[in-house]
Parts: sequence; structure tokens; C-alpha cells
Amino acid sequence: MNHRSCRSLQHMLGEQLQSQFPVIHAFDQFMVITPMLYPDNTRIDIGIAMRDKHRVMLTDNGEAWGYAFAHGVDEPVIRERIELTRARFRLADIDGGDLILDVPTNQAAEGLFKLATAVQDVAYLVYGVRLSQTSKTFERTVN
Amino acid sequence: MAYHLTRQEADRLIRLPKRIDEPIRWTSMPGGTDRDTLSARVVCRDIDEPMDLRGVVGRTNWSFLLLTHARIPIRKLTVHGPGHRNPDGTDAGTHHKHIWDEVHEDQETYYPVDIDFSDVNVALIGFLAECNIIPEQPPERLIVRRRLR
Repeated sequence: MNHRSCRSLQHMLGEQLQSQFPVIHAFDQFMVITPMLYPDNTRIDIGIAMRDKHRVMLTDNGEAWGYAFAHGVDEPVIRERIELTRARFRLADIDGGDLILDVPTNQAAEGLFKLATAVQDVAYLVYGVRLSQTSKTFERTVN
Repeated sequence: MAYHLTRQEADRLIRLPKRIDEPIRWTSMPGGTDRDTLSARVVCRDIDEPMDLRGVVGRTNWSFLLLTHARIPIRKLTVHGPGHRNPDGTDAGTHHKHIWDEVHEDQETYYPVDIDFSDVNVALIGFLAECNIIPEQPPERLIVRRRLR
């Protein structure tokens, strides 16, 4: 592949990727709808707000917490995972269950991917709870 | 897969008469986050293990789920702004109901015509009725001060 076709491919992918991240204005904030998914195929949305000229704040609006709870994960387990996820992804250490990332404006896109991945890190708890419950049922049946 | 449950079995569990013997109460999440949750044990004479009703009303999105004892969401009513894409690529929109099947798990959805989405409290009662759950007392009414979808 020569340099020209490489640039052409890059341009095509850039356009396609751009269309995968629609931005809407809803509920007093801008929401970026990412192509990244929760386990049930629902798209992950990230709220974005300018803090000042140089920094933006990205938030999941507590949706990862809500997703895990709704799917049967108990609150202490979610709290523990949220703390771990915050440490792992270097997110803001705040009260409550929101996942928040504060980044320089020139790192907003990278931050968006990072936060959406952090959302999945919490939401994937649902697989663990399904397996652990099934295993308990199996143990009771066998015993 | 360890938690194998077929669509047929999930639908059978939905059809079985069930009840909730405890008050269905909303709890606000501490920490200043606009989020209310509910959790209630669902019992059924025909099965040994209890099921679980869960609900979350977030800042803008909300959902109600009926989970089996193994935490499998056999029915889920949800309103989620970013929308949903079904496994076959069709767009399910923001308001939809998830079903469970053994291939796509809870990824398949449809638009329910039997649910009033204009009021989250009415929607909960509709969800309970569809899941054949009779609560001992009417669910506590959630007062939502924010605007929901």
C-alpha cells in the first residue's frame, strides 16, 4: 500500500468513526453517544462539559453504577469495583457512584475512550454475578 | 455457558403467577447523585428459588428488571437516551423492552405497546402486570423532581 492510498484509507476511516460518535444536547449537558456497548448492547453515552478554556469534565452520570445494580449486583460489590475502577483508570475520587474524568481539552477524545472503557469495567460485573449465583445453585443441588 | 436458560424457559417463568410480599420502596442513593433504586424479592409457588425485581431511575434514564435467582434478566423495560441496536442491526430506539434468549441473552428488544412511558410509576405497574407479579401492596410512588426521558 503506497502513501497516497494509506492517506485515503485514513480519511475514510476518520469519516466513518466520526459518524459513530453523535453528540446531542440533552438535560443541560452535551452527551456523546459512543459505539461502545454495555453487555446488553445498549450504547454507552458520556456527558461532557467544559470546565474552563483548558479542561473538560467527562462523566457517565452514574449509569455504570445503575446498570450493575439493576442487573442484580449488590451495592457493596459495586462500591468496591467503582473504587478499583477509579484507581485503575485514574478517575476523580468523589462521593457517590459517578465515574468522572477531568482532562485537558486536547485529550478529550482519549479521555472519552478511557471513560467508556471504565464504564464497561463496572458493567461487566453482571457476568460475574450470574456465574457466582449459578455456581451456588449447582452446589446446593449436588449437596 | 454456565447460566444456560432458553427463551422458552424464560417465557415460562414470566407466565408463572408470582407475588411480592414485602413493601416495594424506593431508596435514594447517597452522595448527591440523582438516583433512586428499588429491590424486592419475588416469590413463586412453582419454583424453589426466589426471583428479584430491581428498578433504577437515574439522572435521565430508567429501567425495571425481573431477574432469576441466577441474576438472569428475563425481562427488562428500559428508557435509555443513546438508544439500542438489536443484534440484527435494527435500531430499537430509546424506549424498549429486552427479552432473554439463549443466543443473544438480553440484547434483543422490541417496542412495547402495553406500557405507558409517560409516568415511571405507571410504567412500573404495567411491568409488574406483564411479568404476572401481584404485589401485596401498591408500590411506593416515586416523586421525580428532575425531568426524565
